[in-house]
Amino acid sequence: MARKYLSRLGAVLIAFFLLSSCAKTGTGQFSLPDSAPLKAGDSVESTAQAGLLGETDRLRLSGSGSGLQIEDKLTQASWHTTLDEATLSQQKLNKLWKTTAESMINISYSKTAQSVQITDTNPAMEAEIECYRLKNGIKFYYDFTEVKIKLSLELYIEDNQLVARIPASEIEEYGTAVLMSVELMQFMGAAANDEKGYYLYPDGSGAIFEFSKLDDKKLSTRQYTWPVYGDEKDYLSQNDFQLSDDGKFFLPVFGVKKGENGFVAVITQGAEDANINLYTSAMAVQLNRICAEFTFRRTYDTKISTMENGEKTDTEFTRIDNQLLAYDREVRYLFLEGEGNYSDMANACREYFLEQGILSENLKENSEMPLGIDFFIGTQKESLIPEFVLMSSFDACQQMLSEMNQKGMSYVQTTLEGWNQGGYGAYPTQSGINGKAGGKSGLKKLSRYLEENNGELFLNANYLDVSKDGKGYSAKKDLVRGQAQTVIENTDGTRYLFTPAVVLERMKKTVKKLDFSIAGLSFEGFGSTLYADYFSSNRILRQHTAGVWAQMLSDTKQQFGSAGVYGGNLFLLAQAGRLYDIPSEDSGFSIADESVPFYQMVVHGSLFYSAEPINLLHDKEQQILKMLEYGYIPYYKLTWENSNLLKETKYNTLFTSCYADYKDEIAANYQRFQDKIGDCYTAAMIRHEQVAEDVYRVAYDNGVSLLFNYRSEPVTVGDASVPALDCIRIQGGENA
Amino acid sequence: MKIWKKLFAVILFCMLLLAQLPVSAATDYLTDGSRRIPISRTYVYDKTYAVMGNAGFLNDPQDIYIDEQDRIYIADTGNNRIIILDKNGKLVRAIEPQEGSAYQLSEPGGVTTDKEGNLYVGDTGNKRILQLTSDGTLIQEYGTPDSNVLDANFVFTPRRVAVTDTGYLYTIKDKSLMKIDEKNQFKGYVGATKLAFSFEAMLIRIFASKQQKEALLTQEPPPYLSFALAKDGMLYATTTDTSSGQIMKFDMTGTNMFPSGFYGEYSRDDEGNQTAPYFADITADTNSIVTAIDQRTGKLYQYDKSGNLLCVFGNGIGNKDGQFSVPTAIDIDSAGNIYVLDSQLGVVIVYRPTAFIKSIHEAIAVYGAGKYEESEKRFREVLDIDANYEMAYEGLGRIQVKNEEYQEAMASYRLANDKDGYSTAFEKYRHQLFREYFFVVLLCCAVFAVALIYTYKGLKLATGKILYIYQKNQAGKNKFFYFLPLGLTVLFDPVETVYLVKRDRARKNWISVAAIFLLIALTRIATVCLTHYPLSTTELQNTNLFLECAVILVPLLTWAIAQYAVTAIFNGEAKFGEILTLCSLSMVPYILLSVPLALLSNILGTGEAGLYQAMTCIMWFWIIVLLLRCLKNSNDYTFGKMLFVTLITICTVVLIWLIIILLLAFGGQFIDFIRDVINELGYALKRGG
Repeated sequence: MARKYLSRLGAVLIAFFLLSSCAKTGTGQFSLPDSAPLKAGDSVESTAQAGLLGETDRLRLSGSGSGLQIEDKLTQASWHTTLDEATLSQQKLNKLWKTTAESMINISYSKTAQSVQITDTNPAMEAEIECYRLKNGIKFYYDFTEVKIKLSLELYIEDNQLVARIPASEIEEYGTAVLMSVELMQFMGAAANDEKGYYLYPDGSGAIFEFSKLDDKKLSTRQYTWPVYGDEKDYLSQNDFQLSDDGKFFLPVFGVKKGENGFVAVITQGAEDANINLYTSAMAVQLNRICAEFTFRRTYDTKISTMENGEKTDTEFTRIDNQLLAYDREVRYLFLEGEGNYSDMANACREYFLEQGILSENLKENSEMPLGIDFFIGTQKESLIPEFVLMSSFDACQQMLSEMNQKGMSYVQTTLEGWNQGGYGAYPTQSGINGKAGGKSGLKKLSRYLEENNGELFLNANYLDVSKDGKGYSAKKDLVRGQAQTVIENTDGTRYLFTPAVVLERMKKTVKKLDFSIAGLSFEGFGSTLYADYFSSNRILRQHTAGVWAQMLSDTKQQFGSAGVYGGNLFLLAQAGRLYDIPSEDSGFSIADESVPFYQMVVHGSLFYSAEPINLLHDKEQQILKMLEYGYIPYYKLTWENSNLLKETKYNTLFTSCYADYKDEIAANYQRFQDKIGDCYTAAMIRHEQVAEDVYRVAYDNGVSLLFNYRSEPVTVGDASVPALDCIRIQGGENA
Repeated sequence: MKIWKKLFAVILFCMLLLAQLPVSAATDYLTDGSRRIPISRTYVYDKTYAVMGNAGFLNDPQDIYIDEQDRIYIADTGNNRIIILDKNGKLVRAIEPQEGSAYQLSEPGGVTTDKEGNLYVGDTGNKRILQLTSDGTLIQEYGTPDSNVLDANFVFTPRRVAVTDTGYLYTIKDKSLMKIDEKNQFKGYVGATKLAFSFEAMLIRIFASKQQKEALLTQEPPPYLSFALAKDGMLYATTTDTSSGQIMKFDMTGTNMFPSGFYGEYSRDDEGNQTAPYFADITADTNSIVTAIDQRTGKLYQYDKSGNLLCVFGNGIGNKDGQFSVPTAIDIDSAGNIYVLDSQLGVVIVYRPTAFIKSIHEAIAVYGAGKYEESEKRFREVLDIDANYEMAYEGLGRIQVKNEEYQEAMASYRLANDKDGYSTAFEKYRHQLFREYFFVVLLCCAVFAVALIYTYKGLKLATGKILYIYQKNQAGKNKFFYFLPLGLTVLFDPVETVYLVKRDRARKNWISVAAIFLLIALTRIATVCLTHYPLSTTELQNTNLFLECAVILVPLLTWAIAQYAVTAIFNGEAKFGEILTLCSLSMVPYILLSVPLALLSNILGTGEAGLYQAMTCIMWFWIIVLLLRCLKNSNDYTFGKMLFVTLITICTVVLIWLIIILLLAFGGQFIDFIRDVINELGYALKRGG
C-alpha cells in the first residue's frame, strides 16, 4: 500500500511543480522595425526595416506590436501571435504577466539538472532576441542570458498555413540550467468571457469549452494540461483489462473559434512529447487561452533509502531527466473557411491529414457497410484446479456467422478475442492457437469460411501486457522501466509492460504461425497507450515507440491486408483499417460544455470504427441513436455460451453476450444501420450541428443528411418530422 | 525461500482481507466485503446544477429536499437562504429575508415541506425551526420545545427536519430523533439508540433517579449522521455504528425495521488507515428502495427493504463530471433520479437510472406484491441485461422453489452464490427423492451399514496380520514403503506401532513419509472438491493447489520440528526420523475419513451442518489423540510429562512462526535497501560520468 501513497505524494509534487511553473518566464519584448519587406537571411535589426514578412494568395504575415499578425484575406480574419495592443491596454496586467502576454514563447527551466528548482518568476529576466528574415517568415534567436539557454523559433507561411518551428539543433544549454518545456504562443486566440466562440480540445470524441459559459461553472481547477496520446506512465491501472485510467487524447490538435472565424492547430512534429494547455480567465489575466507546450525534459520521482534501527525509510525525490528530448518541434495553424466551427475544424484537419498521407482513403473501394462482430473465445478461470472457460469454439463461431449470412448480413468484420493458448487475459500472450477452441485447423477452417463468404477475420492481439505469473519473459530485460530504472507496474506489482522491441519480436513469432488468410491482427493498446522505456541499455523515446507501433501495423497490413487498432492515436491511422474503442463522448473534465464528434468527423470515410458493443449498452435506444449519429458501425460482442460462465473469471464484465439471445436483434439493428447510413461509410462527415435542444443534424459529402431526435416525443424541424428517439434522412433520399 | 514468501503472502493476505479492492471508477458493482462483482451500469451521470438562475452560486449548502411535484429545495447554508428550483432546475424563488423583514435566517441546515406545500426550515443558527409558506411568509416559529423532561441546559440546534402528514416535526438531537408536535411540545425521542446495553438502560429507566437517567443520556452512543422522512412515509436514519447497522428505518413507534448488519464498505483514507463508511445522507423511494451516500468515497449504496445490496454506483471523489468533493445530502425525485448535494463544490449533481436498475426495481416491486409469475419474467429481463446479477438468480430461485422446480432452483441459487437458499431447495429436492425412492434409500442404508461393519472387520484382521509380519521381521522385502503398512496398524494398536517404528528407526524410510504426505495433500484437494456446496467453507475461485496443500501440511511439519526440538531437551528418546514418521502416521484417519465424509456431505444441507461438523471434529480428535500417544510412547513419557511437553511444543510452534515472519519482514526490507543503494550508486555514477 505504501507505494500508492508515495505515488500520491509524487502527484502532489508534480502538481506543485505545475503550479509553480505556471508563471513561465516571459521572453521580453522585441520591436519589429517598420519598413519595407526584407530579403531572406537578412537580419531584421541590421536592416531596421519591417512591415510585411510574408504573403501568399490567402495569408499575410506582418509585424505588429510585440508580435506578428496573420491576416486571412479570404475571411478577413486577423490573428495575433501575442496579445494585441488593444486588448493589452484593456487588461490590467502586472509586469510579469505583461511580459508573458507580449512574448511568443514561454520557457520553463530548472536552475540545475540535479535538483528540481523550477521557480522562475523573475519578471525582469529578458531574452536577447535577434531576428532574421526567412522566406515568407521570420526567425527569432532567443538567448536567455540569465539562465544561459539559447533556442530559436521560426515562423513562416507555407501552403497557406502558419508554421511555428523549434529546431532542436539550435537549442543550447551553456550554463547549469536545463530546459524543461517551451510553450508556444499562449495568447494566440485568447478570448474574454463575453466573446462569442469556443475552444475545441481533443478529449475522447472531442470537447468544447464555450467562453460565455465559464461564469456558469464551478471549477475546481482553472487550468488544464493534457498530454497528447496520454501521459507518461509511472504506474499501471489495477483493472486487468485497461492499461490506464486517463482520458484519451488521440489527436494532437486544438481549435479556436472566436467570433465568426477560427483556426485549428495541429502539432505536426513532436506531438509525442507535447501537451495541450488550456487556461481559463482568472484574476491575473481575464482571458481564456489554449496553446501547445513542448516537453523537452520530464521530471520523475525516485526514492532514497536509509536504514535506521533496522527500519528502512524511504525519502522521495523529484528528479529531472538528464537527456534533452532533442528533436524538432512544429505546429501548423490552419485557418478555417466558413464560420470556423468544429465541423470546419474537422474538415480542415481531415483534408490536411489526407494530403499528408496521415490518413488514407482506403475505404473508397469498398462501399459495403460491415457488421462488426467480436467473438469471445474463452479465458482462464482461477480455481483450485485452474480451468479454461470455453465460451465459443471456432466451429461455434462459424455456425453463428453462417446464420448471420443467411439473414443477409454478408460483410462481417469478425474479431476473435482469446484465440490464443490460455485464452483472453493470459499475459504475456502466447503465440500458439487455443487447442480447446479448435486449434489451428479449426481457426483455418473459420478463416476459409470467412474468406469464401465475403467476411473478414481479425485476431485480437495484446503484446503489451505482462502478468507476473505469465511465462516466457525475462523480468530483467523485457520490461519497461521508468526514469528511476524501476519496472513500471501496478500497485500490487502484478502487471508490467513489454518494451517495444520485445513487442515486435513477439508479434513476429505469432505471425509465423498464421500461415493462412486473415484480414489482420487487431492490436490492443496501440491506439491508446504510448510509453517510453528508460532502461539504460535500450532507452526508447515515446517517438520511437510510436514508430514501432506504426511499423508493426504496416507489416501486418502488408502481410494480411489490413490491421485493427484499439484506440485511435493519430500516428497509426494511415496503416489501420479498423478502429475499436473510439469513445462517443469526452472524458468529463468540468470545463467541457459539450461533447462533439470531432474525432469521428476527421476519420469517417477513411476507417471503420466501433465503440462499446450494442449488447453491453445501458440505454440502448439513445446509445444506438448516438452510434448512428456518430457514424459507428453496428457492433456486437458475442459468445456461444451464456455469459454467466464468466462470472468467476477475471473477465467478468461481459454481462450479456449469448448469441441465442441476440440473433433477431442483430438482424434488426443491422437493417436499421443499413437503412439510415449504410451508404455513408465511405463518405466524409462534413457537418454536425445542433439544430434544437436534443436535435442534431449530420451531413455527409455524398449528399446525404440526417436529423437525429433524442427527445421522447416527435419533433418537427423545417418541414421534416422526426419520430421520438429516431433519425430520418432529409437529403440524399432513401438508402435502397 | 519462495515457499516461505508465499506463505508470508498468505498471512498478509488474511490480514488485509478487508483492504480496498480495485475497481475502476466507471464500473458499478456489488460487493460482499471481500470481493467486488462488476454489474451493468445502474445510474449514470446526468447533469449538474451549479448556477441557481439569478440567485447565483450556492455557498456551503447542507440539505436538499425534493417534494412530490419534484420541486427542489436547497438549504443554502452559507448564504443564509433557501433556494427553490422547479423540476427542470429553473429557479422558482430564493427565500432570502433581508434585514428588517419579519424573520432572518441564520445558517439554515435543513429544509422540508409538508403536504400543503409549506416549508419547514431548520434555522440552525437561530436555534429554531421555521414554518413558512411556499413564498417565504412566516407562519410559525418553533423555538426550544416546551417540556419538563428536557434539561435546562438543553440547546436546540435543529439542522435537518422532517414533518409527517400528521403534523409532527422531527429533528436530530445527537443520538436520537426528537419529536415535536405542532404546538411546539416535546413529544419524546424516537429511535433512541438501542445498543448492546439496552437491558441495563431498561433497568435504569425503571429504577433510577432522574440524575441517573441523565447520566444515561450523556453516555455517548454514536450520533445520527442524517435522517430523512422518505417517499415511502418512513423515517430513515444513518449512524456510524457498524456493529448494529448504520442504516435504520423507524416506524412511528420508533422501532427499527431495517435488518441490522454492516452496510457499505471499508475504505482507506489518505494515511492508509481503514475507515468505516460515513453515510452522510439517506433517501428512499416509494417502494422503500434505500440509497445512502458514503461521504468518504463518494459512492452510493442502494439496498432493498430487506437490506440486500442492489448496486454501488457513482463516479466517486474527483473533479470530473459526476464526481464529488464533499457529498452532503441526497434525495430522489418521482422519476427515480438521484440528486446529490455537494457542500464543498456547492452544486447539485444528478444521476439518472438506467433501464437495468429500473427493471431490477420493477422485479422487486412485482415480487413484493406477490405476482410471482410476472416477477419471474422481470428477473429474467434483468438477467438478459446482466447475466451476473446475483439477486435476480436469488429471486428466480425463490420462485422456482415455490413452483417445486427444485433442481432449477438449486442451479439458480448456485449462480446467486446463496448457500442457504441452495440448501433449502436441496432439502426439498432430497425430501422429494426420498419419498419417491423410499425403499431404495432404505436398502442403500442397509447395504452401507453392512459394508461398514465388514470393512471394519477386514481392516482389523489386516492389522493383526501386518503386526505379526512386522513383529517377526518378515517385511524386509517391502523396502521402499516399509512404514506405509503401519498406517493401518496405528489406528488399532498405536502402542505396538510406535514400538515397531522405534525398533526399525535405522531404516530411515523417508519414502513412506513422503508417500503419506502426498496422500494427505491429495485427500485435502479431494475433500475441497467433493464437499457439498452449502457446507463448504472454501471458495474455489479464491484458492489454489499450493495454498490448500500448505494449509494442512505446514502445521504438521512445524509440529514435527517443534516436537523434535522440545523432546531433545526433555529427555526424549525419539529421533527426528521417527517423529516425522509417527506424525505422518497419525494423520491416517484424515486420509481414510475425509473423503467419505465429504461424499456424505452431499446428502446434507445447511440444516445438518452440525452433524457434519461433529463428524469432522471426531476425526480430528482421533488424530490429536494419536499424535499425543505417539509423543508419549515414543519418548516413554508419563501422562503428565506428555501434557507438559505438548504445551511447550505448541509454544514452540508459535515461536517458530513469529521468527519466520520477523525474518521475512526484516530480510525483505534489507534486500530492498541493498537494491536501492545499488540503484543510487548507479545513478550517481551516471550523473558523474
